[in-house]
Amino acid sequence: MSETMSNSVQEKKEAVENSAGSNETNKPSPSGAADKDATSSKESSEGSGGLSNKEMKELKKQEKAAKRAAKKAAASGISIEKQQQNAELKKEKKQKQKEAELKKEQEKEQKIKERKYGAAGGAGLASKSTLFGHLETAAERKASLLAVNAVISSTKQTKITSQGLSLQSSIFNSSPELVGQPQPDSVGVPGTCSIIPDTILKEVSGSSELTQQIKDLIINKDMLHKATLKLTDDFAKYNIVGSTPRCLAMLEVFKQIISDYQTPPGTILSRNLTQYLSHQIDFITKARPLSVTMGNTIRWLKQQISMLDVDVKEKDAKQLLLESIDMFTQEKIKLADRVIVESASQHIQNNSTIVTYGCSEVLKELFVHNKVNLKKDFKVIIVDSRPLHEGKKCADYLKDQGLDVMYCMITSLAYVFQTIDIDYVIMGAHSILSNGFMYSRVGSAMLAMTAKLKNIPVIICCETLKFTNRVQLDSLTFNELADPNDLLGVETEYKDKDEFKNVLLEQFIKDKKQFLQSKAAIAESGSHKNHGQKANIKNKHNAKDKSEKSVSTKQKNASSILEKWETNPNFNIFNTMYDLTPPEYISKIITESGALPPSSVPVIIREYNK
Amino acid sequence: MRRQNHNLKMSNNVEPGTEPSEIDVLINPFIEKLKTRKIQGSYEISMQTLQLLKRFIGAVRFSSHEELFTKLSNLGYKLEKAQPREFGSGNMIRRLLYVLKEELLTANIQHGFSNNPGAIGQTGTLMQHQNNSAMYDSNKEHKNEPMISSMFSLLQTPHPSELTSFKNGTLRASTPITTAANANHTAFAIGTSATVPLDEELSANAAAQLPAAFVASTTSGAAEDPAASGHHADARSKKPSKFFDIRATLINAIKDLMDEIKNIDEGIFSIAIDLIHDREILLTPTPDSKTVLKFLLKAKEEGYGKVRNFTVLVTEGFPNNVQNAQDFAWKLSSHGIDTVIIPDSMVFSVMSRVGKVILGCKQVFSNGACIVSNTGVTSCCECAKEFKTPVFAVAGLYKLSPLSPFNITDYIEVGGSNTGKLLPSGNSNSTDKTDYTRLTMINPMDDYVQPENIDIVITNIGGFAPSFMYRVVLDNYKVEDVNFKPSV
Repeated sequence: MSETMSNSVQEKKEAVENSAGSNETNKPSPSGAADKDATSSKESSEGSGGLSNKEMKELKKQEKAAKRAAKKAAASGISIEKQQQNAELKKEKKQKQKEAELKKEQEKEQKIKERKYGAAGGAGLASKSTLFGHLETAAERKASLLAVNAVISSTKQTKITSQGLSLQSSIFNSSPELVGQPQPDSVGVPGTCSIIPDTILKEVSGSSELTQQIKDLIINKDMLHKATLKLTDDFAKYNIVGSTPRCLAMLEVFKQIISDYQTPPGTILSRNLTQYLSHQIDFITKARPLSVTMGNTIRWLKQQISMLDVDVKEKDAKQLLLESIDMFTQEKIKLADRVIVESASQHIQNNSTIVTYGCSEVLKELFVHNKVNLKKDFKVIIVDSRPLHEGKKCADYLKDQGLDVMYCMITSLAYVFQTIDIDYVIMGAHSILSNGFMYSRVGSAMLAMTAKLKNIPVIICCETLKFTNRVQLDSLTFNELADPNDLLGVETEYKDKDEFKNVLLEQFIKDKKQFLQSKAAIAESGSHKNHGQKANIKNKHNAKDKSEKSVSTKQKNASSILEKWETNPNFNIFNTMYDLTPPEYISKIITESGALPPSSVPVIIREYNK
Repeated sequence: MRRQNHNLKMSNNVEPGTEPSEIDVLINPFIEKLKTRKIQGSYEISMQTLQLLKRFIGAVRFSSHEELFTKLSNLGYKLEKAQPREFGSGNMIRRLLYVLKEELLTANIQHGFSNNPGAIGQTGTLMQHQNNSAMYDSNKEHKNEPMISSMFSLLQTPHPSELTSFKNGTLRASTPITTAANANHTAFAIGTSATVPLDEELSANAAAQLPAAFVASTTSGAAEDPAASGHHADARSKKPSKFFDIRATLINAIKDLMDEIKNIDEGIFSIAIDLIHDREILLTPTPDSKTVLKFLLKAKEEGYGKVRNFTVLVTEGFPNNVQNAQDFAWKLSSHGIDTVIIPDSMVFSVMSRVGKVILGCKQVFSNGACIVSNTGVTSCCECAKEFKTPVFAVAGLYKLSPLSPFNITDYIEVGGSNTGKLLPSGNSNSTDKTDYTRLTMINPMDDYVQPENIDIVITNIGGFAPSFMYRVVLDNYKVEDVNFKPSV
C-alpha cells in the first residue's frame, strides 16, 4: 500500500512540475482544514521527499473523505455494506490515482486551451459578470439536488467510492480501451458527473466546498426521509413559496420525521435526533436557502431536543416534541397572525384603497377578515412582479372572497400612484433585520420608496418570528439567486414546473453524445493515449458546434437565441429573490407584540426572543 | 424654375375652398396607417410624415401664405387626431411652419415688405435665391462667433431679423464638432444648405460668398450687431432678384429635416460619450430605443480613440417589452459589451451600483419632461433620484415637442395587446370557473418621467438641462403653432 502510494506520489509530482505554468488551483476545502490532524501524518512523513503542499493535501483529503464516509455509514447503521465498499475502494485506489493524474493533465490542457481561445473558446461556461459572484447560484444548488436525486432513484447501480459515487451505465462501461482514458466528467465531482451535465459541473468545479457538500449529501443519502425529499422538491419548484408557508410545511415534515424516527442503538435521542435533522435540513437547503423563519424555528427545535431529559422514554420524548411543535405553530404563527390582523384592521376604512405587493399570508387573512367579518368596503391593488407572479395567487384568492381587486405589474407602479388615490401601502415581510431594514420579496423596496415619495404611509405586517439579529446594508451583499432561466420566457406563464429538469436532461444527452463522438474520433485515429489529440478533436467539435449554433440562431427568433445565453460570455441575467427596504420608507411595523417603528426591532429581538 | 412658374400660375387663378381631392387621397391612407398602427415609433412616423408633406406641398393649392399655414395646421390637426399619442407628425409640421415663417419674415424685412406678407403671390416677387444665400451667409458668420456673445444675445429680446441667426449661433456654439459638413446637418431651419443644393446656381452663389462671410465675421465680430447682416444683405441685393418660391423652400426644409433626423446619432454620441467613464455600470430602462443602442455600440467600438469598457444593465419591461429587452441585450453582448438583464423589480437593489441611467425618449416636452415607450421607467428614475444617480435622456431634436404636459394621462396609453398576459392563469388550480369581472388590471404602455428626475437631455445639437428645454423649443417652434386648429 505504502509503496504504491509513494509511487503514485512520485508520478504526481511530475505532473505538477509539468503543469507549473498553469494556474491550477487545488485550494483546500474548508473541511480540508481538518487535515492537520494526525491521521495522515504517517503517509506524509513517508512521501514527503519532494512533495508539494498541494499534493499532500489532495491525498489527505481523499483519505479523509474515505474515513468520513466509513464513519458516517457506521453511524447510520449500514456499516456492512459500507465496509465492503471500503474494501473495493482500496482495490480501486491505485487506478483512481492514475486517473486523477490524467485528469490533471487534461485540466491543464483545458485551461491552456481556454486561455488561448478566450473566454468563449473553451467548452465550458464563459466567465460571467461577478456582481453576484459571492452568492450561491441556482445552478449550483440544482447540481447537488440532481446528483442526490439521481443516486436515490438508481441505488442498485451505484457504488460509493472514496471520491464520491459512480454510476454504472451501459454507455460508460469502462471498456478495456478506455481504461486509460480520462472520463469527460472527471472534472468536478468524480463519479457523480455521469448524472450532472458538464456545463453545470464546470461551473461547479471551481468550488471545492460545493464538491464536498455534494459528496456529503450523497454519502448520507440513506438518512434522508421521504418527506424531506418531497418537501425539497416542492421548494425547488416553488410549489410552496413565502416564508410562513415554507416554515409551516417544514414543521409538518419534521413532525412526520420525528414520529418515524428510531434512535439507533448506542446513542441517545437528544443527541442523535439533532444530527439526523441536520441531514434533512442540509438537503432542504439545496432547494432554496432557509428562510429566516425556518432558521429561527430550527434553532428553537434543536434547543427543545437538546433540553429533553435523557431518562425520558423515546416514545414519550417524541410525543413531547410533537406537542411542542404544535404549540409553537399555534403561538408563533397562527395566534400571532390573528393579533396582527386585529391590530392592522384599524387602518382599513370604508372606501379606502390599499396597495400590497406579492402574496403575504397574513395580509390575505387581514383583507378577508375586513371584508367578510367586518363588512368593510375597500379596494385592494395588488402589485406583482416577474418571474414568480405570486400576486396572481393572491388576486385569485381575494377575488374569490368577493374583494374588489386591481392587479398590476411593478412597472405600472408609477402610473398607479399618479392616477389613483391611495390610502395605505400594506406589505408583508420575509424578515426584518436588526438594523431596521426589511428584507422582502424583490420589488418591495421600490413600492415603499414610491409610497414614501407620495407621502403615503407604508405599514409592514409581520410576526416577531421573522425578526433576525442579522444586519445588512444593501441587497446585493446577501441575497438568494433564483434560476436566471426563469426570466427567459417572453410569456407570463411561469415555466412548466418540470421543465428545468428537461433542460438539464437535454444538456446531459448532448454532452454524452459529444463525448461519444469524440471517443469515436479517437478510436479512428488510433491513438488512445494521446490526450492532447483528444482535446484537440473535442475542441474542434466544439468549434463546429458553435458555428452551427451561430448559423442557426440567425434563423431562429430571439427567444431561442437566448436559449444559448450561457455560451455568451458577455450576456448575463440576474434574478435575485429579495431586496432590502431602508427603514426610512417604513412608517410602522405591526407585530403580535404591538406596533413599532423599524428602529425598535432590536429591542423586540432582545426582550422577547431571548 | 418650373416650380416658380407653377407657383405663379397657381396663386393667380385658384380660388380658396375648392380643395382638390388629390390631397385627401394623399392624406387618408397615411391617417389610416397611423390609426391602425402600421407605422410605429417616432423615427418612422417623422420620416413618413415628411414624405407625406413632400407630396402634400407638391399638390396643395393656396392663394396666400395664410392659407397655406391654415392648411398645414389643418393637416397637423388631422394627423394628431389620428394618433394622439404619437408626436412625430405634429412636430414635423410645426417645424416646417417655423422654417417657412422665418423665411418669410427675413425676406420681408430685407425688402421692406414687413406689413404685407400675404401679398407675395401678386406683388411680392421676393428673391428666393438671395434670401437663401443670405441665410446661409449669416449662418456661417455666426458659427464662428464666440460662445459668450451668443449667451448675451440669449438674454435680450431677439430682433426679428436676428432670430434665425441667433438660433444657429447658439446651437452651433454648443456643438463641439463644428466642421462645415457637420454643421449642415444641423442647419435645419435654413432653406438651403450646401450639402443639399437646390440648384447649381445657388450652391455656386453660396460658395462664392463663403470667404466674404468669413472676412466679414472676423471684422465685425459682434454677433448682436444687426448692421453686419444687414450690410451683407444689402451687398447681395444688388443681384438680379428672383421670385420667392415657397414650394422650393418647403421642399428644401423637408430635405433638411430628413437629413437631420437621419444624422442625429453622431451629434448625440459626441456629447454623451464624455459622460461615461471606463468600467462604469450603466442602466437603461428603455431597451426599445435605437438611439441608446447605437450610442452604446458606438461607445464600445470607437469612442474617438477613447474606447470604454462598461457594463449595461437592461430592465425587462414586462409585459410589453420583454422581447425588445432580450434582443437589445443580445445585440449588445454580441458586440462584446457586458450586458445583464434584470427584472424590473430589481432596479432598486442594483441602483446603488449604477453609475448612470440612460433613457431613450419617445418625446421631450418643453418643460424637460420625457415620455418613454416603456413602463417602469418613472420608478427607475425615482430610484436614481433617491440614490443620486445621474439620469441622462437621449433624444433627437425632432422628438422635442412644444406641448406642455398638463395632464399626463392624455399622453400615456393604457391597455395594449399585452394586457392579456397579465391575466391570472385560471387553470393553475383547476377551478376554472372564476370570473374576472371584479379584477381590474392596469397596463400602461408608456411612462412619463418628470423633469426633476432627469439631469440632462442630450439632443443632437447639445446637452441641455431640462429646465432649459423651453428655450430650445422656442428656437424651433412658433408659439402660435403649438395647438393645431381644425379648419372651420
